[in-house]
Amino acid sequence: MLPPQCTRLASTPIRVLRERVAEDPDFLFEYIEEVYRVIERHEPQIRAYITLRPKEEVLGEAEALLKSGKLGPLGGALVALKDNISTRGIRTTCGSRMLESYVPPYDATVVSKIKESGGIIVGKTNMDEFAMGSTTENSAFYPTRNPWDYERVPGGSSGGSAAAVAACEATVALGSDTGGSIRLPASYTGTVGLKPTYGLVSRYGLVAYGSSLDQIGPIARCVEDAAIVLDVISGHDPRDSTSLRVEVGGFEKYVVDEPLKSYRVVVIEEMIGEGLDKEVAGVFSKVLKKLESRGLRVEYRSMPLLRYSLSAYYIIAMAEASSNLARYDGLRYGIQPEVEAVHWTDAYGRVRTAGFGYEVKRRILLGAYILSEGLYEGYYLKAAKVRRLLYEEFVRLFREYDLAVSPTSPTLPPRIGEVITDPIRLFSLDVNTTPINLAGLPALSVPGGLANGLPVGVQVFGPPLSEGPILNLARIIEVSRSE
Amino acid sequence: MSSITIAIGLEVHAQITSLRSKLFCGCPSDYRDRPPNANVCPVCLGLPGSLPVFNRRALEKAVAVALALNCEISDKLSFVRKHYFYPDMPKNYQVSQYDRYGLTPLAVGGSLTVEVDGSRRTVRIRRINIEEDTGRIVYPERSILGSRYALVDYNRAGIALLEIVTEPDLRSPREARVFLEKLGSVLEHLEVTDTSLEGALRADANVSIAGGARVEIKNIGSPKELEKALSYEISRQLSIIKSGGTVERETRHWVKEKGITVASRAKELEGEYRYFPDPDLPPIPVGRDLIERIARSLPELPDSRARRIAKEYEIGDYMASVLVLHKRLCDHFEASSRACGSPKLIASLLVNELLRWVDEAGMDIATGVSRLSTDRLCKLVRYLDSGLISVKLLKEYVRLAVLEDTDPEELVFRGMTAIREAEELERVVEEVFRENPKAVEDALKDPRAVNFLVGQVMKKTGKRADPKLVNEIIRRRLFEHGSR
Amino acid sequence: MVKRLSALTLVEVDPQKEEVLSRDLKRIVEMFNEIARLEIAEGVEPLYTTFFGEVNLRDDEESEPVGVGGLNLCGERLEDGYLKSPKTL
Repeated sequence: MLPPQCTRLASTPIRVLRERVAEDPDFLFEYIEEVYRVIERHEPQIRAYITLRPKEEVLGEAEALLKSGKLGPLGGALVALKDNISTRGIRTTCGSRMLESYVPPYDATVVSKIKESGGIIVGKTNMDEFAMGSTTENSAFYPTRNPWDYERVPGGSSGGSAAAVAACEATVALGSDTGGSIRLPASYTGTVGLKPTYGLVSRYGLVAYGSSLDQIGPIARCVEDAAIVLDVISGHDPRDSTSLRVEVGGFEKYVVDEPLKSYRVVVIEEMIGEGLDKEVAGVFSKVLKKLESRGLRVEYRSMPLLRYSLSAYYIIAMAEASSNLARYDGLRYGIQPEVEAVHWTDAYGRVRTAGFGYEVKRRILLGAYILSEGLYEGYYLKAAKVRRLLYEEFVRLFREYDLAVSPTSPTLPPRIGEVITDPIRLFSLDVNTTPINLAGLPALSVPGGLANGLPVGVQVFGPPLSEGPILNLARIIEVSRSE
Repeated sequence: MSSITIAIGLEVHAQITSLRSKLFCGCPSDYRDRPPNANVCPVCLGLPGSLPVFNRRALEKAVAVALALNCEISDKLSFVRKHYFYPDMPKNYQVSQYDRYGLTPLAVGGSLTVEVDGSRRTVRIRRINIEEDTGRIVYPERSILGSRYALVDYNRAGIALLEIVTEPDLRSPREARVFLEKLGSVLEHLEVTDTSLEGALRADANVSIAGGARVEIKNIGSPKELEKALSYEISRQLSIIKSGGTVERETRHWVKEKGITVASRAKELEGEYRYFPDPDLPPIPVGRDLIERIARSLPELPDSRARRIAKEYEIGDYMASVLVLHKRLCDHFEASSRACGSPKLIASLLVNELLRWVDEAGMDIATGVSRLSTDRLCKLVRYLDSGLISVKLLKEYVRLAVLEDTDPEELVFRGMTAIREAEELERVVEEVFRENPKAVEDALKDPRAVNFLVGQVMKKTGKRADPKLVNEIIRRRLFEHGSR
Repeated sequence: MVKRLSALTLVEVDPQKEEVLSRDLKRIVEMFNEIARLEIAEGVEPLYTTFFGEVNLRDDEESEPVGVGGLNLCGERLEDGYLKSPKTL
């Protein structure tokens, strides 16, 4: 499922790229040239990137890679990174004026892993400022457009990563997902987006939004590419206190066209309830039928507590965001403050007022409110208790079922400007994705089909560390799409 | 006046100086001789995307302190973020611990007993936190007010810190000082903190008089400064009360250079720290086995050490209790007593002489101890035993060793000895005898009249002479005179 | 409320947007109040993280510090190695 910007060559999947380059090293240059041709042609409209690396630099790196002979699992793939993932020597703006000229002195752990595995960084992608938003319209620089329809948003906050991959302006991309920021744009752009189990992928170097919810994950054009990238970026990292010590690797093996097990699949009724567009419902039920036709049992369960998950999610995310964003005062990096003959609170205030956009300010203010003396128990503590109950419900659910499916978003991609002015409507785009982050579960959005010429994503999720079965089921949805 | 109750509580900040690296990153913890901003990395500078990883040794050290102070130790170590903006804080929040919202500090409910002027007081410890230190702000010019900007050094940011909070159980500035000294000594004995390092042991104090408002004094750098700051603050409050005013609840800063406390710039948002559990640092279990292992390996602590040395060296409880307030001093006492003998004399020289001069000169004990070394103490013991010097000279020797780093041997070469002194005295006594023949006759009849002659000698020597020696010389001469 | 929060967080919004902000905040807080009103049985422990593994700890080992020069940040505001900052007094 590719939008019109893609060419056959530019849409080469990683495994094919790896094989072709092994046969003929020049194929890598041809491939890179082609991707840059697509970029030149379409990037002026799509605006997926904030910082694009010059073609010569990328070609030079490809040459060095070929010379080293260590093509690795990525085989020279062009990897786009969401601009909140720290890259040594390449500015990392987070889509914010605050960090417009901030150049990190270190690589995020995932970036080191990509580089060691034969990936070439192609650029840094557009995003909602500090990952706060669901449409990429909150970028301080410009909105990114959906390659399927330039009048529509690509989703967010990893909208630039998703748009770049969808339009074949990169092989794959990394995004970050706090409440749906990988899955929602994947759904809106017809790509595969995976949010791993909390702790499976190191957060070191990911600019924090909601630390207890954030995870980095791949966005790809096919399930297999997502699995290959997950193999590369997952694994224990001593720099992250919340990094799991689990055996990883071998995710690629799950990408097969038949179910590896007769999965018991569940649909949570509240995820297909009110607010679900009929076009989305149509695609989703078709996907369910196909699963059933493959002999998978699909059952329905109710989880009334989900009603509270959106509020709980936003309370926790805003509180953590308000804390994580306190460090931006300009003193050590970012917008330069005045320092002479000015009181520090005034200098800080000016930097923060000029550096943050409206949505970020709103969340900082609300986060501070939530954590205020006397209100903490009613909001933050309560939300954390709802989180516990929700987690326990999922634990119970996944004792009975192997995997769950839902529409990723209740709606088709909104038009630019359509939802951004209404905070509650904007939040409600995340209604099916946020519970996953609250519970720390792995989840993936895979295209289920098109409706009105626009992609509709299906969310597949499961218990902690069920990435393998999730990829397997996603692959089945992927292959059955064309049937 | 004595009926007015003074209640003092302390919030002590002790760096865990025995750690090699900072609390959450591998930057070296030894920053004191480093150029500004040399010991920093993405983590302790709070760069976007960096994450903290806890130094496990800090927990072992903190547990040892909690055990030494008889605290109840939590079964998990949970960190919170405490938010306030300040240029010395890279993240604009401090990773610390908290005792509300169902969270617990590392330890609660201990005590430490101090003895001042013969009376004992048990001071309750409310809690012990592990937290990160902040950077340092300095001013480029002499005058803070004249400077157009400040300068920040983040070398100290992220150093492991223990926050030890007492209940308001202390009753006088002197008691507070001894408490802080003793706590410092406990930390020294546990090899947690080298308290001689600048800024390694700091305190904030709160004082209230007669149940009045609580005033907090920040920025106190040593036990001695603590005593001074509290004395100043108490007399400030007393004079307000005397003139009919009311003491206001506020935070004041101790300005060491001027010896006064000044009101901090009013912060209307003080106390709005917006605590919440740090999501980057999930709770770390504190295993019973870890606690037991540390409990088994606890070293001898000041109280038991005082009991032991009082008995072993027969120096009395008082001397022992003062010696153990400073681990270095006590180590020095034991080493020197073993090397030179005469533990009573050595204890007295250290407690009555060395401490006095060190205090007067504002010198740290380590320097004083290194100047009045075991080698020098042995010489002094020898000189005194052989009569080369008198007790009075001995004290002078100690003074010169501590203040001017003069070796006793050099003083002997300079001729500052009892023998010289005796010759000199013989001459003066002869003179007094010549000038007061009547008094000499009286003294021969009535020994009580000897005192007059002694007095005359003391007068002529400007009271520098050793009265015992003068007495001896006069008696000997009287005897010679009488037998003639 | 906005004023106090602004002072607490050192961010201010465009005066023209203040009204919109107040309205937005009110609506969001209303949404949050659903949670505040929710009755939860006693004994439910709050869940602050979904990390259930063994927390990474460090051994007390030194690594080479980068130093602010090596970090290449705010170079122009360094004075004798110190970082120039607005006054705090």
